[in-house]
Amino acid sequence: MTALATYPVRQGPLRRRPLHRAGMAVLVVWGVGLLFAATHKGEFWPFSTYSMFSHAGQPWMRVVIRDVTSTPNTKGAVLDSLEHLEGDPLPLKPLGVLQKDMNRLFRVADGQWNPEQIRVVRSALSTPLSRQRVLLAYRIEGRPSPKGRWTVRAVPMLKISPSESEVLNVAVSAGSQRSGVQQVH
Amino acid sequence: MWKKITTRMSDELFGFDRPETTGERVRFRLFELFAVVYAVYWAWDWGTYIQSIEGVVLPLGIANHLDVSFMFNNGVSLVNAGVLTVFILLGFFRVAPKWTYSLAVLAFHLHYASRYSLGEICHASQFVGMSVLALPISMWFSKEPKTQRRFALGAVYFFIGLGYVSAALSKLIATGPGWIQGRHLWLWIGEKSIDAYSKFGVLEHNWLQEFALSSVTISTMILAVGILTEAAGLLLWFRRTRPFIAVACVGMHFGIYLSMNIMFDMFIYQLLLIGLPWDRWIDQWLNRSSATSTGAVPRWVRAFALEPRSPSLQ
Repeated sequence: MTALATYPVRQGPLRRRPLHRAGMAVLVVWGVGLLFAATHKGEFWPFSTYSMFSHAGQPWMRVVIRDVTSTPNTKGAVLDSLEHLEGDPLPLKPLGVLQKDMNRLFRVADGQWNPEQIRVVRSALSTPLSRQRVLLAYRIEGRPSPKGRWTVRAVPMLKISPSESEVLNVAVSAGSQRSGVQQVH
Repeated sequence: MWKKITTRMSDELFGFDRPETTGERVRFRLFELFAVVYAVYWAWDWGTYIQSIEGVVLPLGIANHLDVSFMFNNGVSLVNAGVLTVFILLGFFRVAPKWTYSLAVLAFHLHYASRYSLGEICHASQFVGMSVLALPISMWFSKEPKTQRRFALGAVYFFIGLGYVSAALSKLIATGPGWIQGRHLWLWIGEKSIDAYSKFGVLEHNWLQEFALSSVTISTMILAVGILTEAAGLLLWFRRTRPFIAVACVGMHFGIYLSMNIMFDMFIYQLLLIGLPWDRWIDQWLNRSSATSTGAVPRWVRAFALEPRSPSLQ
């Protein structure tokens, strides 16, 4: 026997038939997926358009959580810079909270906060809340700037204390705000 | 013409008629081990995280048809992680692999849909998920081990290559050739900087971000190189160009990491594993080893590669 054996395989149509079926199955699944992706927007399970970073130059939204325990009565103000955000930074990484989950929660809940969504946010931030911290969630909106790099606007969205949650701004995605309309315990 | 193209593509992707070497078998088992190890890793990583989820915000995949909230409490996700681990290990050690790998895929998908029920979908695990899916599919369609190996790996080459090309095409469809405009990268750098600020409490840019932000021309060139690399992902389908495009895609992922703080580390590992000619290198190593020692492939290598005692048994 040689050190490096090679392994001949049986030839013939019988061996190819199942592979032919497999190849056809792959092509059909791919074709259906392509059809859905081409004719619809959004995700159609199990097919996806995977449009990550496809739409360039679009405004974006992220979330920043601040610890405002030292100024618990603040309602926050809409700001055009990140330099004067209320309170101190609350890094999410040490809390085991994933930033992308938080972004998505706020995007989904935009203007439509309900007790279930508030409960999910409070659960994600349960560690600082259990330490009696008062938290303020800012929605950071970024837009392209024709002159500089980009512009940001910080909108206080949600104030969360150990005992209650207060929605500060709703329906901000179109650029208008309404304040202090919801108390969710 | 069509037949010639499909025959050529089949040979490049699968090569069912080419003889198989020990190096190829070892490389395939390494690929399989990679998929199994990371599936187990995700099983427990997600399993513990799912227990902290309070509700389904946006149903994903099977969660559109099945209320996955039962996974969130009483350690159910940890039980599913255990089930996934057992089935996938049974598959790896060839205990009814067709069935155990298939059940592992189902458990994996239930896990994925539960973990990402908060709405944001993570892409990092998708090459691993596709690899785990390719294993039982290859076993359902063929009984011959060599054909199974060739089909599984070929399907992974096909879909990874297609994925990169689709990414490039969707950018051109959604935005057009202007996608490469440097200010678009600036805007993404701003977005990802806020993510880093939120995660770590510090707002700063690294050297590549500062370099890109220093000039629209530089950031345009970075985006142009990125989309061209993605478009060239099709070259993964061809044996001769596979190593080069794999390394180029790894470079692109490092660029994405430095410019936008998004690390696709498992993509990088898998590209290196399936893209570089490890089979040839392993064969060369075995040839050198066998020339200086007993003249046979070491037993542990044969056991790992699931080689039969004699080629005639194949």
